Amino acid sequence: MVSLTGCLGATEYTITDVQTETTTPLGISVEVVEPNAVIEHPAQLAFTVTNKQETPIEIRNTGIWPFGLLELVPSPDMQDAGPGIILWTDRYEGSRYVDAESRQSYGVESTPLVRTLGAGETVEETYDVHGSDIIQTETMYVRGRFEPPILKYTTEQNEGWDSLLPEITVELSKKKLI
Amino acid sequence: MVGPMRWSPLARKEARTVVTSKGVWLLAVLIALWGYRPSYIGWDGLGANITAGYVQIAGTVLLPLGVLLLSYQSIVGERTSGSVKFILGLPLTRTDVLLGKVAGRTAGIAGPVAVACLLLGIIGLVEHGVFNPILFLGMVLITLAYVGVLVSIGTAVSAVAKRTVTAAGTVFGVVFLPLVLFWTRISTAIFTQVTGTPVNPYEPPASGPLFLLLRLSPDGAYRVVSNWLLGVGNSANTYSHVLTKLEPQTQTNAYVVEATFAPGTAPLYLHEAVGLLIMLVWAAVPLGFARYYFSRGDAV
Repeated sequence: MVSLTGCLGATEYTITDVQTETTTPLGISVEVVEPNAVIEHPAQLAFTVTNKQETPIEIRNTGIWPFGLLELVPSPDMQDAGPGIILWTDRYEGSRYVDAESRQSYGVESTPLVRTLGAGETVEETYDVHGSDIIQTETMYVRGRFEPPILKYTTEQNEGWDSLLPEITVELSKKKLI
Repeated sequence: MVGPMRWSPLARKEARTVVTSKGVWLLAVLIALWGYRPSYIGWDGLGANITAGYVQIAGTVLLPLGVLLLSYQSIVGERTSGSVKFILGLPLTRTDVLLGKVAGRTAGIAGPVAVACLLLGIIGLVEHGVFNPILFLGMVLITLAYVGVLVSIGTAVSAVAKRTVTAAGTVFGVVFLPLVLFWTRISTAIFTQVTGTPVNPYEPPASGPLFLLLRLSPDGAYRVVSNWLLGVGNSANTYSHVLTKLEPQTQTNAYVVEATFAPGTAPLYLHEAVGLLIMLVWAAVPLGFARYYFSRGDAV
């Protein structure tokens, strides 16, 4: 009977693993800051981008710099990605380029935000994964909310902008009640 | 000897009988399990005071069913077994018997229910941290008052019914099903029949009579008062349902005054304090009728 305790309550979740593909010239890493997405607080993922070159790299995005609006989707296939889970940061609400009413209602302006990441420089941004937004568990993939690349970049050698869409997988599981 | 002094031995015996029965402790365990229901919306709305919200959930569905089942035999059971003769042989009026039964049975059920609430408080403290103890105490007290109302209704049925099976059928079919489980549907149907106005539960009309009807059941009144204490909104729905309704861009079938009426336009009779009055009426009126029939009829 004790095992029934809380079984009528909301489902809570845990991030059990995060894997990131190695990329150049920008290195992307994702660390789990808070694994548990429970009623009291969201899970948290810290995204880091590092310029691994000896020369500066320009990074472009929309909404906020450098990662923009991100989400977790259940499939890496763009055609079959299905509904996503928004990765939230308070910086959305602070940005004049994001219309962030709530996690259910938001939009982004197309104004490009371009800044330079110096040689060896690193920038980090922490995103929340709210348990109430999670609709399915198992392996999820990180991508940009409105366009799949998580950012675009250009180097001194390039003329155009390259898209960065590394395979970043996030394993979600339901949290055990007892 | 004044009234309460006369019936207090009977009340003590009644309380002892109830509190030593397995049924009331089974009810306490079940409502604790039923009440502990963490929710994202509850945490967003109440923070650590969600623990006080668990008390309201504990008081919903299972508590009224359990209390009614623990009350319906209080007099008719003694009548069918013949032991009512001993009670009527005591120097008590029939009003004293009714009051003693209600007071004793309420106390006997309130103890285990308070233990269940305490258990919820301990679980909530461990899981969610420190909550407002005054708010929690207020929620427990209003829930115990609701127990008293339900015991009063159950005892009134028991005093009037001639047979145990009639009392059981009445508390389940005439009290629990229509007044607890299906009251929202019944009251909106009554409103539509009388006024000809259809009720869309997702966007109900801003009608004072409709919202009053919804809170006229003892269950609805209890939730209005407990939502008042929790400070979530003026509604006869559960607190989490109310919080969901008040979320922007959310559609749900809760009837919440703040979501339906423009500020300052809700009639005065929809004030949450009226919920207390409704609970009081449910505690007194059925018992008043029962006193009338019990005093006049052949109790043996």
